[in-house]
Amino acid sequence: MFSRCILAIFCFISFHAFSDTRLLLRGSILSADNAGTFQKNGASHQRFENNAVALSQAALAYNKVLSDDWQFHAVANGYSDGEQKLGVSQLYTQYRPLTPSTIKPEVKLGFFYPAISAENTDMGWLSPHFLSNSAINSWFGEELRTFGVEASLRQNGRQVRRDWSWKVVGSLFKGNDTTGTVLSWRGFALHDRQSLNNDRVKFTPIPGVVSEEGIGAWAWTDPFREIDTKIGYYAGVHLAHKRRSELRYYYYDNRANPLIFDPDRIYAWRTRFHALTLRHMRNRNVTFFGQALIGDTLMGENIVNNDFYAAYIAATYTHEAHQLSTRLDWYQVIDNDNTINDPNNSRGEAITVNYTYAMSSKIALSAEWQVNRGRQENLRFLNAASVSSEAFHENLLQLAVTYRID
Amino acid sequence: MNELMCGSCFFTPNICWFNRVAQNFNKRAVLAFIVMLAPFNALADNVTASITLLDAEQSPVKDGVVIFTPLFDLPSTETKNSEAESTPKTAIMNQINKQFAPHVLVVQKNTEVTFPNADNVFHHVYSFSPTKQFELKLYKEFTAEPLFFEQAGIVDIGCNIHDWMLGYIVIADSPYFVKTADDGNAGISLPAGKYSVEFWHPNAPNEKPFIESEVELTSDKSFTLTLTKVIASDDDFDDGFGDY
Repeated sequence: MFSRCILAIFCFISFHAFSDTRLLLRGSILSADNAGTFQKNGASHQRFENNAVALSQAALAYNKVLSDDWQFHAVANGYSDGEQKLGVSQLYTQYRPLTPSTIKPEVKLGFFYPAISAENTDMGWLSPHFLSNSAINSWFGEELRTFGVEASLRQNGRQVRRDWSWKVVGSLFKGNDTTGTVLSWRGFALHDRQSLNNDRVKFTPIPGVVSEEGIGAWAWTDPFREIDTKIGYYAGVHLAHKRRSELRYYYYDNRANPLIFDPDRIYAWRTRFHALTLRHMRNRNVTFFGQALIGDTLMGENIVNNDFYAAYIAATYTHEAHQLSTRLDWYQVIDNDNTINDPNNSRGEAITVNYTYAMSSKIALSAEWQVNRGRQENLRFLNAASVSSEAFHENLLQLAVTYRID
Repeated sequence: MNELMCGSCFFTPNICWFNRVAQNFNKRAVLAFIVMLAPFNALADNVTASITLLDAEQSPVKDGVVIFTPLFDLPSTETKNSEAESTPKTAIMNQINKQFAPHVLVVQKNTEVTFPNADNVFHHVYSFSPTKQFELKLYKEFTAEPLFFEQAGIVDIGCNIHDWMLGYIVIADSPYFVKTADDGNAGISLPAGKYSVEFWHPNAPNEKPFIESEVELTSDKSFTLTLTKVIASDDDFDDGFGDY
C-alpha cells in the first residue's frame, strides 16, 4: 500500500514543472565472506554474503519548489535485500525564507537525517567517497531518522565579510524509540543499506536475547517505531572557517521511557549520544574528515545498559576524474548490565580503501576493499560450526558501476 | 583574428564598416588597414589608464573596481556613441559550480543582466540591496528573463539555497570602468581629460587607495593602488558538506 502511495506521488510530481528529479543506480559485483548476513539473521556484519551481483543502490531524489520559501524533498529507495524493498528514506518539507537579515532561519518538517555526517553528502545520503559507510554512519543509516521538526538559525561569514560561519540547530521528534537495539545485539557494522520508512533490521538470534527464558525479544528491530509517545530532541551547532574547515557537534536524546513496551513486546530504548564531526579541505585535491560518537542506551530496568563509542578518520584525494579514499574505523560497545546470557560487549576496527573513476558526469566506476575485524562476546553462543569464537574477521571486495540521471 | 578585430571595434566608432572589412579581406590586408587607422585613433585623443591593485602584503588583488567619471563634456563622437548605445546594453551573471561567475560584474547603468544557470541544481538568487531588489528562481540549466539595472550603485546578490554563493553587480553611471584581473592589473582607453575616480572591492568596500579623488589624464598613466589590508582569496569551495 505504501509503495503504491510512493509511486502515485512520483507520478503526480512528474507532471509538474519546476521540480528536480535525480536517479542513481549502482550495480555491484562483490566478494564477501561465506558467513550469513545479519539481514538474514546471520552472524556476519556485512550487508551481503558470498559472491554476488547486486543492485546495491537505487535512489530517486525529488525536490520541488512549492513557493518562494517552501521546498519539498523526498528520497525513494529500492533494494533487493533487507525487509522493505521499496520505500522512502527521507520525506520532508523545508521552510527557508528569503530574508534581508544576515542571520537566516530554516525549518524542516518530516522524516529526515540530522545533518551530522561528514561523509554522506551525496544525493540520497550516499557517500561520494565510499561505497560502504563508516561504522557510525552505517548505524545512523540503520537506526537514526527522526520524524519531527527541526529549526535552525545560520549566518554565512562570507556575507558579513568574516571568515567564520555558524549554524545552531534544534529538533523535536518522535518515532525513534528503538534506536540502540542493533548496536547492543549485533554491534556496529559497515555497509550502505539505509533503513526505509517502515523497515525492519534483522540480526542474528542470540539465545539469551530471543528465548523466553532470556529476554524474550525478537531478532529484529523496527528502528522508527514509536512506543512511549514521548518526544525526543537533538541540538547541534556548526562552525565553519571559510569553506575549508567545518566542525559540527550534535547531542541526541530520544528521551524514550525504557520501561515501556508495546503489544509486540518491543521496548523503548533510551538512547543518547554526543557526535562530533570535523572536515578539513587541505587543498583542492585533499580533504580530511572524521567523526566521533559517544553514547549510551538503556532498555528495561537495566536489562540492557550499554555505552558505545565509535570514531573514524578518512582522507580523500581527487585528481581530475580519479578519486582515492581511505578510512579507518574503530568502534566499541561496553556492557554495563548484569543480564545473564546477554553480553553485549563488542569492539572492532576496519580499514576501507576506495578508488573511484568518474568516466563522465553520469557514470562512475568504483573498487572498494574493506577488512573489518573484532570481537563480539555474544557470538560465543552461536553454533560453533558457523562461528568458532567471539572473534570475527570479515573481508569485502566490491566493484561497482554508478549511473546517474540528473 | 576576427575576434581581435571585433574587440578593437568596441573602442572604435566605425564598428560595422570595420567588421565588414575584416570579413572580406585577408589577414595581410586587414593588418595594413589597422596601420592605416592608427592615426585616426590618435586623433580621438584617447589615453590609457593602467591600474595595478595590491594588498597590504603587496600581493595582486583581483576584482577591484575603478570607475572614471568624466568631469568634462565628452567629445562629440563619444556622446554620439553613448546615444547609439541608448538601447540597453547586456551582460551576463552566470552560475557555475555553485558560484556566481563573475564574482564581481561591473556594468554601466541601463544594462540588462541575464542570469543563466549552468549548474544542474536549483538556485534561488536574490538581492535586498537598495539599488535593486529582486528574486529569481533559477531551475537547473535555466535562464530567467533579464533584469534591467537602471540605477547606479552596488547590488549584493546571494542564493537562498547555497549560502556560500555571493556575488556583486557594480552599476556605474560612467561608461569608463575597469575591474582588476587575477594578476591585479586592469587597463582602459578613455578620452583625455579630468575624471573623478571611485574605487570599490568586495572585501575592502571602504578603502580609498587613490590619493586624490580626481585625476587629470592628459597622457597614458599608470596607477598602483595599495590597500591597507590583506585580501585573502575566498574562492575555496568544498561542497563536501552539501548545501547546508
